[in-house]
Amino acid sequence: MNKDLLAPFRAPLIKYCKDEGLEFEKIVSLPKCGNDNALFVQYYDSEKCGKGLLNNKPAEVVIQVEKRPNGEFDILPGKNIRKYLG
Amino acid sequence: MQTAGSRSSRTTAGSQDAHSKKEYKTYRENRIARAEEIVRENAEKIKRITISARNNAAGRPSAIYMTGAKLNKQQMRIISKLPKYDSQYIFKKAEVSMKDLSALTAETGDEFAMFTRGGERLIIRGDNKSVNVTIKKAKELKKEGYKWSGHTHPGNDFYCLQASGDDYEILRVFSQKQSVTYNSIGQYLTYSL
Repeated sequence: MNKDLLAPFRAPLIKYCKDEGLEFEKIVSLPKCGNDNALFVQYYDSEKCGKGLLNNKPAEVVIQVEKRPNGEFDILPGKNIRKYLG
Repeated sequence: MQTAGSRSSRTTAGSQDAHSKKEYKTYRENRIARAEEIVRENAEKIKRITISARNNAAGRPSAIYMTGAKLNKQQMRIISKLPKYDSQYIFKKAEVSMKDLSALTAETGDEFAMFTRGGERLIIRGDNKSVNVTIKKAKELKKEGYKWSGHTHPGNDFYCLQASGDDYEILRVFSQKQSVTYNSIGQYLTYSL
């Protein structure tokens, strides 16, 4: 069964996007990697891919969320966040 | 201005300090001597506990990466079938897990990729940067009925686990929604299209 990676971070991301004038729905459609404590929302250009697992360069991070032990969230925007979520 | 009385009391306090320092030194020496005696008396027991701790650490990725613990017997068997870059071997499904590949990455510093078909698992060994699975090779594996179970990235933090654009593209090739990446200490991230 596929895991909803966005689920633990949905509420803080919705709030962040609302506060910053960004579109949360665009996050939903972007590729992402994460676990229960961290989420990296990423962007990549499929036209520039083709090396398979020989490519070890991480895709660009659009926005990153980390859950602290006290339950609060740290949100770190990528440098091109407005380009992808604006 | 200092009086004779105050000078006298300071001298008394000074000798008390010296006395207590001497007492403390003796107390500390006695404690160390007692500790050494306990270690001598229990040498065999301590040796057994240490060996047991080391044995329990065998096969655990973080222990291998951080303390130089050994691979377990099954992991040694796996690595013996994958001696160099681009080696590949088909194991039974129960014989190898992603945690095992994480341990192998901790031991060797190399990446490994796992593909599953029914009750078997194909493992391919890479080097410290990549695994030789091109998009073309991935398409062939998909055609042969394999699913992509995951791969490893050498390193000990979450940042080394971030997916590349090609990781996502390979998910597309296998028509899968998700796969996992493990690092050298057993941590993993799931990545998803």
